[in-house]
Amino acid sequence: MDNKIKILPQNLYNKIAAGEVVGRPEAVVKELIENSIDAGANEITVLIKDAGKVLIQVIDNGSGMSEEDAIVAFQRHSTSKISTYEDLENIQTLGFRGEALASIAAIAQVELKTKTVSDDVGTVVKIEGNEVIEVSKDSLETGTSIAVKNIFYNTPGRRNFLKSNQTEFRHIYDTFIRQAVSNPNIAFKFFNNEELIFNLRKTVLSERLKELFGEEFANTLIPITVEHSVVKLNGLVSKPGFTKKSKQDQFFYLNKRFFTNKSLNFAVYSGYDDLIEKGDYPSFFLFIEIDPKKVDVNVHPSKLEVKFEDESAMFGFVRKAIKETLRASNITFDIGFSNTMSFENTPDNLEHKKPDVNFTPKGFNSGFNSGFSNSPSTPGTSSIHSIFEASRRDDLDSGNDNASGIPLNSEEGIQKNIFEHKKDEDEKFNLWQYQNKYIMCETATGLMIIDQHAAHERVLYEKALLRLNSQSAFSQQLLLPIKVKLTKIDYQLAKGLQEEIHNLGFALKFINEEVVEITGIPADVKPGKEEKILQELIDQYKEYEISLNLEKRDNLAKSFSCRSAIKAGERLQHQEMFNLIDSLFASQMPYVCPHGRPTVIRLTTEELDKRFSRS
Amino acid sequence: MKFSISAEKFFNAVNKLSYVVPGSSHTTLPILSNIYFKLDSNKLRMVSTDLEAFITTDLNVEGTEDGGVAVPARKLLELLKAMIIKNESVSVTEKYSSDSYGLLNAEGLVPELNLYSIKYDNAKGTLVYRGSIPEETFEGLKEEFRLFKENKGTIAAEDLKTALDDLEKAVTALGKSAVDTFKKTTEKLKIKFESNDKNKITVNSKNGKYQFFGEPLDDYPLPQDKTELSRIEISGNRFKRFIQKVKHSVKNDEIRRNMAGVFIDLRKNELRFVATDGFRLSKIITSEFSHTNSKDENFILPIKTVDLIPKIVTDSSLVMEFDNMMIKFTIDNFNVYSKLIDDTFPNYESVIPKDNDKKLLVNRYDLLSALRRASIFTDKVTMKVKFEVIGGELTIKSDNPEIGGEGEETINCDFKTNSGDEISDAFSIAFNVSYLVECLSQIDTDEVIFTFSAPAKASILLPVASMNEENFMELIMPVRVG
Repeated sequence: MDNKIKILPQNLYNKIAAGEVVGRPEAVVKELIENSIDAGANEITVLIKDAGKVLIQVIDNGSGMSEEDAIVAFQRHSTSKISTYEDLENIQTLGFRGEALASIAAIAQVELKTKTVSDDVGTVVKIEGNEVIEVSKDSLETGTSIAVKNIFYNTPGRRNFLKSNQTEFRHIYDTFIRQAVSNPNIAFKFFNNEELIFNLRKTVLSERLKELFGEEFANTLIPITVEHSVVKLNGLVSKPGFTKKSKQDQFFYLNKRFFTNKSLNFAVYSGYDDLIEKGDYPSFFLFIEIDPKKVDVNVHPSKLEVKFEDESAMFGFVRKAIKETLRASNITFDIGFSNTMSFENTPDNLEHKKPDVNFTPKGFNSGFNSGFSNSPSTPGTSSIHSIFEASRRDDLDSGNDNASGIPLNSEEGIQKNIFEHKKDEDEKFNLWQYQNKYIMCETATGLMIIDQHAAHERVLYEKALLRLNSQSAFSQQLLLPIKVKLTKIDYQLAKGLQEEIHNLGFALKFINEEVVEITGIPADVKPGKEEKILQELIDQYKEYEISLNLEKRDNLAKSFSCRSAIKAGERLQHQEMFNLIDSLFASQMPYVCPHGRPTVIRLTTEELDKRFSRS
Repeated sequence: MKFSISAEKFFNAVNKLSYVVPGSSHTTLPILSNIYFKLDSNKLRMVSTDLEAFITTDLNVEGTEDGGVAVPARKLLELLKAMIIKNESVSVTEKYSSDSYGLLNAEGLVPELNLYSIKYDNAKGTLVYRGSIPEETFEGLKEEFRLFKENKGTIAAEDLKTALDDLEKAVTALGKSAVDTFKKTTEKLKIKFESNDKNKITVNSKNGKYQFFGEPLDDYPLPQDKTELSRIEISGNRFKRFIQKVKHSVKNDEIRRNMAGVFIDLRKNELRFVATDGFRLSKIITSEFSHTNSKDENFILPIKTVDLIPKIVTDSSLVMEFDNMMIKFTIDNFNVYSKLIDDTFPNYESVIPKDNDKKLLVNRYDLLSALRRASIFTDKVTMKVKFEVIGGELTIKSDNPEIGGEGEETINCDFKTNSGDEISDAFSIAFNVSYLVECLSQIDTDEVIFTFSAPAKASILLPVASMNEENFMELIMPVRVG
């Protein structure tokens, strides 16, 4: 009887393995760009034709290869990147499995041109279906150029599985973007059917994002840098209020390697907390740097997934980092005219022009009063100042007239009365109400426009939440305890969370391995189905391991603040506006309302000057 | 169809039947906004329904032509009301000493009688009522007096107390004579009602003639009479009072249906009315009733029906016939059919504590008025007030961190163990103030007894024992603090 089990011939094996590494043209692009990056290139050109189905070519100015290396490179598990197991534990390069080139060579016609600095002439290697067809010498620039033609030419089955050109192009495009984002120090060119799509210069991340996504979008991001003993997080995230309806622009990199991880995405999202509306998602470009030993990137050949040694610690770290950054930064919304403006950006001056988020006077964050009283008007604004001054007078006059019926000539007296000790500070800024809807406020650097409803909402929301949480330990005891059957795991979890659940206002009795009895519920929030609320709390904890909070309570605070806040159309007196702004900037997050919409927009003098072509 | 009837009788019936008629925008079945009329010689059968409950009545009329029509309820009611109010009003007087009146007036203790069309004629020393439909007016006044007395607390001065009691008596007598007089005058007002086969309705009175259109009777849903029902008979007034005493504890939502009504529990020759929402429980027991079989039975009467029955109840007796699906009430010539809640009422007996060993006796008016003041300073969401009892003093504390206010008031009390020993240790417990006020309001006695065991355990409210023939009790779950 014949033996049935055989060792597969090399090229058949490679074709099968190629399926894992090279699922679609996009994977070729990714592998080749990563190789170029690993080769130390600082200029990379990507050319594709017919969405990569006909040609994918990547040209770099990296270290190049010698003739011997160039041939060996196409054999499976040949790599220059690691050589021992210890190296695998400590991966610094993007590639390391030694599969890519072999896999690509198995399913396409490949032409490799390469030259090292030390060699005088370069090497040209042509391979088809893993067979070396030609090796020759040519005079070449230092670096490597790999052209991958007619992908899947010898596996028609796979070729048929390719999607439409648009779809395949979209994938390649996404991959290119991911690489371009993580390597702003590398110049990229990207040609599609000979049309130049991107021509990216060497720059810094924030400028790279402007080139890739447009200046307007890039200006809605704020930088984040948080360091911890073993892990470092930096990058850019959406300002609250500029979040999107899709999760499209979410980029996570681990040691420069793009990856996806649902739990970390949620960590970012939850870091926004009440700064984001349900159904909105923040955009982010975040780079995690961590000791390679703490992660496993070798989960799948595509390396899209990573495993962290301590997943929940990472979650907590990211969430906290986002939360603190957002709370600490001044995220006032600027009125941007950038879409109508064109600047000749040179890499040189771009270096200084980091996203303009900290231009407000120092001390502004510490409170409205100090921020304004400490910042004298700059000479450039003096003329505007006087205009605003005049309009304020008019406004105040009519306001007093209408509301209090006090004769005009007593205005000085009223001013004194109302402001008393605040008088000095008051004279330093102008407030007036626009269409009974917005509060205009002159600042040292421009004009601040405040949505009175949104601002008041924020103030009331924080108050309400504070109050609700301070009342939270009060628990209305139940006459008829409600028995809830949990799974054994949930039961243990609930037991572990006993104290937190208690602090939310629940009273629980643990009956046996799976049955919990609810004997008290929060006195303020009367949940409909108590057992459902409990289950939700446990699920919430299980999924995200974040501290428990009652969504109902939060919603209560939100709806309370929305209901009670002054509406658009209500006339405000000067003192009322003053107080509102004062308490707005005393709140924890003055820049967005509890639903995630902006409260404050600023128009800088600089911007106005530009609009009026003053320089 | 053709008949004539006295305005009073007609109005009374249409008025009662209207209680279940859904507003035209609240039903997808437009026929329900009508009242079913069917004349069979001298008997007019009327039916109204919202499909959950039915009200039916048979009126004796002077019929001249049989037939039937569905009559727009609101339109007919408005018309009858306007006819009666416009034409028929009564003016009655009742003697009341001007000294007493002056005394009360000087103390600001006269209830808002003028809101009820009652004036005091100083010269003649009489209370004067002039108006129409006095039944509604004086029903409202009863409640007014009850609230008034409660708000003013105990009036220490005997003469004031007597004057107020006399005033209530005089007003009650005034009401009775107004109702009687009104009945007599409206009885005289005859209304002729007719409809033709195009469902055109004509209402004739001495004022004139009004015409509008009704609907054919074909689709009108009618209640199904069943046989083999259990039967309980009880005084209408008692039923009404019992419902009033417990219904504030009914759970007012659809989530736990088994608590969304009053539980009527017949056991061992006792009839118990029980309601709970899981935070408090009210229970009252009577043996003053009769029933057909001796076995224990019970049902949950949905809150809508609980609200409806007292509006229809009269002084005469009330008969309940029921199985496990439905109940039929018979009150004079009215029948009310209602669905029952098809669910199991919680085992209320097991949750009523029997080991509450601390007993607090306190004046109910003092407590109520202290609570009303304290509630101004409670947090509006949790509504929490705290009782601190030590020795002979009860301190009621409230605070509202939001507005930064707080209140504290101390009243005298009697705090002892069940066996009558003084308790020297301090005891504190917190409640939702609105639950407390609602429960206290249903207790009739001047003093109220609380029993406690521990700050997180149920406490019980009772009228003073000697006055508590009906075993009325209320239970409130406290709010755990901290």
